Amino acid sequence: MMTKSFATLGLIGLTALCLGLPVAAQSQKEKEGPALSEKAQKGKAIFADRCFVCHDVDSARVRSLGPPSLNGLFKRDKLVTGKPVTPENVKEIIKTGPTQGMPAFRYTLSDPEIDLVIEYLKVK
Amino acid sequence: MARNGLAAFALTWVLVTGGHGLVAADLKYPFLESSLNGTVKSQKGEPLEGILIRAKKENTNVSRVVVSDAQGHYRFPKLEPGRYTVEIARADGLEAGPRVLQLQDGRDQPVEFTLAPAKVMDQHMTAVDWLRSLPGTPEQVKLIADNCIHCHTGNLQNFRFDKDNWLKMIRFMRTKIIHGAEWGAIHHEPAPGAQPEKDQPGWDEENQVMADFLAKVRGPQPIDLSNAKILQRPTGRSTRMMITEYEIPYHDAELHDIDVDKYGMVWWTDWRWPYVGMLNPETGQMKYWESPVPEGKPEMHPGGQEISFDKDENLWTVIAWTGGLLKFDRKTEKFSSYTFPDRGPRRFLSVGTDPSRDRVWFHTDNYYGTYYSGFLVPDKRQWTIYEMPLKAGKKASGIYGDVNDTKGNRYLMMHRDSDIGWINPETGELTRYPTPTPNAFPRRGDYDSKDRVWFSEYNAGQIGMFDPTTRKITEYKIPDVPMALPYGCGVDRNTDRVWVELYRNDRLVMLEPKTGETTQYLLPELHVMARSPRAATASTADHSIIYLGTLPKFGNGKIYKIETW
Repeated sequence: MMTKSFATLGLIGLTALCLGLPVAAQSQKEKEGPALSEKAQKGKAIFADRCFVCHDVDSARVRSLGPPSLNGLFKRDKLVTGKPVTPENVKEIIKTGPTQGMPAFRYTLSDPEIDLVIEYLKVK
Repeated sequence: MARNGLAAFALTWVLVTGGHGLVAADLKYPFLESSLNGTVKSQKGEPLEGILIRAKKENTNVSRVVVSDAQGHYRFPKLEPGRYTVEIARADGLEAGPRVLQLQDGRDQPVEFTLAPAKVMDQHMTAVDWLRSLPGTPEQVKLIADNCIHCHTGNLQNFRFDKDNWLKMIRFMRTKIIHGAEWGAIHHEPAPGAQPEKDQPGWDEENQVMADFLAKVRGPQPIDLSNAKILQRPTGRSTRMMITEYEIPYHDAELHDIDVDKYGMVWWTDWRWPYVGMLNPETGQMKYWESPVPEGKPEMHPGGQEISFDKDENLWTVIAWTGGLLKFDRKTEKFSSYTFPDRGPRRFLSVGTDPSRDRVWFHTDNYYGTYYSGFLVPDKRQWTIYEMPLKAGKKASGIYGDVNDTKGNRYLMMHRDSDIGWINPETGELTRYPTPTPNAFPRRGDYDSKDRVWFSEYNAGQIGMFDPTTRKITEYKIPDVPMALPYGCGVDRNTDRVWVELYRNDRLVMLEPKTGETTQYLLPELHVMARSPRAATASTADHSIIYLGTLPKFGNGKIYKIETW
């Protein structure tokens, strides 16, 4: 067995100001939004598996990777393509991936699955 | 360093009980009473051994999984009355539809299953089975295995694109990813002089080769996988198992680590969310708390990783992506943040306590290859760090799942160099011990009752053990599982049995050090990225109880309680 001994390299002792300040807590239950329809629930499950990794929807602290947040999508005037926000235009983006980052999901998600995702996006 | 006002944060807790109380008295294995049982057979009527069956009561977050024996029989313990979905949880290459039934008190309910070959085979295969069944050259398969299927298995099996769109995805992932094969959790401006991967020669040529191959095997049209090579199911002792699955009570949970405190409570950290959680296995109650935004530097991304307990059994974890340590006081339920005192973002992934010296050990890197091991003395607020001398070569993580033993020794998993590094706690001197197998990639480890350090050899499909008495490393092969990727060892210090999860196979392996014998157990789902096997305080040689966390990309994170006998 070969061993190598190293003297302590780059030993740096640092003293930091106290950042170990206990932070008080408040009891708060997780916010629950309005109940989702059955279709929106199914769409949410598909979104979690296929879309969430890039399109974070809910959190202020979890930063986007670059793709736009889809919170309030159906309250906006336009999509990134410049077209109006309609179920048909949203479906077109999902299926064809017209932007540089968004791939085309037409072979991954069926039309009915995309419709369910849109039902979910309508209420977020 | 300027200190801002306290950021407001919320303590968030959710009490989730497993149904209306677990029927604890009837959970003594192997089940004095049973209210749900049956047989699993093939279409030809042959009994199928080693099939996992799940029973989940409606409107609960807890489910049970048991395994069929050599006669194809399966048997649940006595379950609470109610409406259940009973389904095949794991039967690689096979499938059967779920059943919904009403269990009534005092009545035994038989449910029979006949399994047929899976219609959509790639949805019923592990990543290993899929890779082994692909057409293409070994080089092509290795290229996508090495680039896409390390941590997050199942991704390729769940997406279909044509070549142009695979190229889009590959370029995006390989640009955004900073280390390993993650999904691009963090991206930031490169440090001065840093060399992003996309600027390396041959980067896009490699992307084109991968996109070409993926467009063939995961393109618009499915390929024929009817003759897929499916690994043999473990049988015999491997069927003496029951799993209780606890679903985490918030969405898209990604449990990076779990650990069990001396009271038997199971704690978890999340890789994506700023949560620390606790499961009380006796009651099924789950609570979680939101950690504060770190002070002193911009938050890169919330999330923790490894867990360790101090002398007061308070939980310590890391501020993984911004850089620092986090303490959770179990009595006050308050967090204390210790942000590393520099301006740039840092990864902190490993933590271990040395209560005798009041040290909290960690390792850290600046995302671009300079690694430090070190410790914090919290009461003195003093940071000590040692820069790690690493060998030149391809950029990769330098040290990972390090181990503190009972004497305060710090052992580093120097995985790129395939060394176990020992830091003398008195002198700070580093000594390296190379693994006998070259490039074995020691990844994560744990210590046993004799302070021997057990670690996964990720690239070699082996378990290694460093003996502090002899200063030698012994290796144990995990048999019969190609492309295994053992991730992290956990030791049941009640028995010194060593447990390790296999990423690509979705299996759990138990090594009995006295004999060198291994036993494999199927996990109840595919592509779950199970990790951190940790023993329950009540685990014994006759009745092992091991907990695992999951970090899935499909479905929600869970804690598994795995009982074997």
